[in-house]
Amino acid sequence: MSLATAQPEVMPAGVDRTANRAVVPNAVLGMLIFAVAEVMFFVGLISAFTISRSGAMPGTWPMPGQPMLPKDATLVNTVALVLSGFVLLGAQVAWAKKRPVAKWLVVAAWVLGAAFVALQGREWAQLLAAGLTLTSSRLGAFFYLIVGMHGLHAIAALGGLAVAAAQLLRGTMKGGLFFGVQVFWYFVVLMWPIIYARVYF
Amino acid sequence: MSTAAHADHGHDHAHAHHEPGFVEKYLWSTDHKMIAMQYLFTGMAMALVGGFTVYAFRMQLAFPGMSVPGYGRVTATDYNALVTTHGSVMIFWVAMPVLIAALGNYLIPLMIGCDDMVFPRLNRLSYQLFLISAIILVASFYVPGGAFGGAWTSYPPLSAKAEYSLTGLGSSMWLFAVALEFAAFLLGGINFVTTVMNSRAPGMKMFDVPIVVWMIIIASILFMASVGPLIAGAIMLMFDQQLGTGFFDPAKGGDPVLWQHLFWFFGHPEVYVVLLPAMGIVAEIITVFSRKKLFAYKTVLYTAIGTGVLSFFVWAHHQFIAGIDPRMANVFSVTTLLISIPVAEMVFVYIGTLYGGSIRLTTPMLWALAFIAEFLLGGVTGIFLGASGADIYFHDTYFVVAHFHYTFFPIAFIGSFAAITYWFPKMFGKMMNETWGKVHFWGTIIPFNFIFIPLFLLGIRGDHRRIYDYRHFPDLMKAGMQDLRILATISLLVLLAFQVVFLVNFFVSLFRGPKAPMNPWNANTLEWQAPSPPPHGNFPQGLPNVYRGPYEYSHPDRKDDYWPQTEPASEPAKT
Amino acid sequence: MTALSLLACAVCGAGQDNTEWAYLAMTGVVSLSPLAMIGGVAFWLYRASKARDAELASGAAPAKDPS
Ligand code: HEM
Ligand SMILES: [Cu+2]
Repeated sequence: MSLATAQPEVMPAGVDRTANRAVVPNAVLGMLIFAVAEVMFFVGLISAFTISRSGAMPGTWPMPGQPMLPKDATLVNTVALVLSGFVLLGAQVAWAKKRPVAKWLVVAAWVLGAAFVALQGREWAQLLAAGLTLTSSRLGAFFYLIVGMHGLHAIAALGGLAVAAAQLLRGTMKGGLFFGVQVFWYFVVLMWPIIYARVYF
Repeated sequence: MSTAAHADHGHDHAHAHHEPGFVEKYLWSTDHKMIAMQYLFTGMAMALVGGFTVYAFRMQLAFPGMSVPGYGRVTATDYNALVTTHGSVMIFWVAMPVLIAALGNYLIPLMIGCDDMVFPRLNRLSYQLFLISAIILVASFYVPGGAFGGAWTSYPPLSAKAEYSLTGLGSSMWLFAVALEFAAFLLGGINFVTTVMNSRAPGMKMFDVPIVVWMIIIASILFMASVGPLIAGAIMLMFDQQLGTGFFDPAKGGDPVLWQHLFWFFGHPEVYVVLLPAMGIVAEIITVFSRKKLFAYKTVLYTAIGTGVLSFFVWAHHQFIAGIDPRMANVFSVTTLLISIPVAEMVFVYIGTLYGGSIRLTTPMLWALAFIAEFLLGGVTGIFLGASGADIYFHDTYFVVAHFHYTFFPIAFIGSFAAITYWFPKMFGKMMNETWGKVHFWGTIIPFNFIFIPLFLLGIRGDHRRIYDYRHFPDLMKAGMQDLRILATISLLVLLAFQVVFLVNFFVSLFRGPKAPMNPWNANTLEWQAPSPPPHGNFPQGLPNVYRGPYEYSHPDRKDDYWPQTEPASEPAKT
Repeated sequence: MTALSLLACAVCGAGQDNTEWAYLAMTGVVSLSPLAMIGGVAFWLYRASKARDAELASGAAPAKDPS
């Protein structure tokens, strides 16, 4: 608040400028809007996937001789990611109540999220070895595109979460960053089950 | 360069004790006004690029095979690249940066009475990304194969494979530039919405926000909600181009029509993204220069929101002959006809505002009135195209070209000229020359109509729009058709020549113009309560409070015919 | 090859019924989801600002500058 010191004389009594109309914190609103745009990005990908798949020649989805997507093994990743969302929610509740456990919950959420990314990486390696590549079929192309894009978002969110965790551990967290990172992480978490249900089945 | 000074919250850095150096002040600034200027001047420079390309390819159409002065012979490949660049530049690098980014950045903090955007550094990043995207686009002219020539809509399979487009690198640079530009506007939009939500001056209720701010906000939301699928499509297309996937390539089982859906799902809302800010500018100007309250503020607002909602349901009117499901074509015909209702309603409201006002025909007012008149023609011809039956004939003729120029030109140029001439005193602290302003106005409006009315006539006669040299098409060289093309091109030359008047007036006024007072037009909105030009922090006398709506002109209880939003009521206010 | 190039047309390729259905369904999803999300956020903001106004009116201590 740079100029708040020079209040105009016309200011009526009882109006305090610091009570300016910040209805929700800037970081939350900004990140929420960003998340809306990001959801639309994934909606675009998923709708393209759905249309392409329904238009595929019979018997070409998946291509004969190429691996099916490992939907059972991926259930583990899915659980890890969803769990990490709930843990982060718990961290927020604890943080609001000023409980010191909050920072450890954030760390736990981070670990679960990192486990998700690592498991995804292993899955990719297996699929690539089994012959499913970006250009081997359109299913492959869509799989690596959609899951990869989600993975990139997850990695970016993990970076943010790591910064937040570091600030919490050092006790320098003021809130804005934490809220923003949370919104982004929930977006990553909520997007995944939709992708999983659509792409793997 | 001291990055440390910026590590803090952007608001605070300018109050560090040193004078900012040149780089910090003009290139690395986080001040919303400076970022607005950067966007404005980049947009103006890109308008020159767009103007030059249209000059070259219109010359080829009127005088095929000639060596165009200043360009040389336009080959078929050149022609495609020039048309594509013209369209892309004018929409994405002129209309968007000037109307949304420049005006949004400049006006929003000033009009809602705060000192800067809530995320100033994000704002700076937004401009930097935009600048890089512009440089990439222009640079694509100089790579092997040249710039992309697959039209601004970039339909696959043509755009998907270098074998087809012959511009492997150029296509990808085009796509990358567009995607980067969208990222820039995404950041800007987040800033706009958050700032208006959270930083309004005390007392400024939702319905005290000036219409132009509302319009920019609605446009930003529309943009952000519709751009996602296009970015998805752009990445898929980039994969097709560079990694050999076949998302859109029928030879690999891909679906090219899918791209059209992803593109137009964004593409149609995009036209409202640029239309709404222009509508907002006109609202500000006509109220000030007819000294009347805006007729039906809430109607305008709700209409704009309704337009935004509807704009998500009309996109397939661009694909009536692309082999879409005929039942879908019917639905989209109906929604397209429906969306002209709110647009017409806004025009009527504006005419209602003018009715009975004491109108002053200043240069900005002339532009605003011309906007209403010319846009009307664009909107009405859109209805013809929206009827799928008629569109089967009109599609891909010059009728479509004329239609969207009667919408886009009023928006991108008439609207921008209205805004620049109106806010120039605030932006630069100098008055613009009125006489030259009017010369420029007439020198633009008259040739504009002489360019595009011939194109309507050509389109009605079936003139196909994607042809490089009409001499190969005897059916399109019938009596008078070439004359109409020549008329359009000559008018274009006149129009371009008159832009020199604007540039001279702009820069001479900037350096030599008479000093502008704080509120030269006796307007109500907050930006006119700041000095001209506003210093860093905007309101040195303290951030303002707001007591009423923005359009209280000629109030019966007042001696003055205007009533600034910041002025407290001396006696108990009656509204 | 002929069958493959037919796929260029979304309404005459193989699996015609499926594609039609997919286009219609995805049209619905893609156009309604932004409206739903924007509507949701707008409604939430509206409620929050109502609550804030009430809080200010009742003279409660204003919140700290959030950012
Ligand atoms: C009442 C409003 C409008 C209606 C009903 C309408 C309708 C249409 C229709 C049906 C087409 C497709 C024609 C075809 O390709 O065969 C079209 C094309 C177009 N319209 Fe509009 N339009 C309206 C307003 C606007 C506005 C406000 C803009 C711009 C800001 C605009 C820009 C365009 C563009 C750029 C194209 C052609 C794109 C291309 O094929 O390259 N329209 N319009
Ligand atoms: Cu359209």
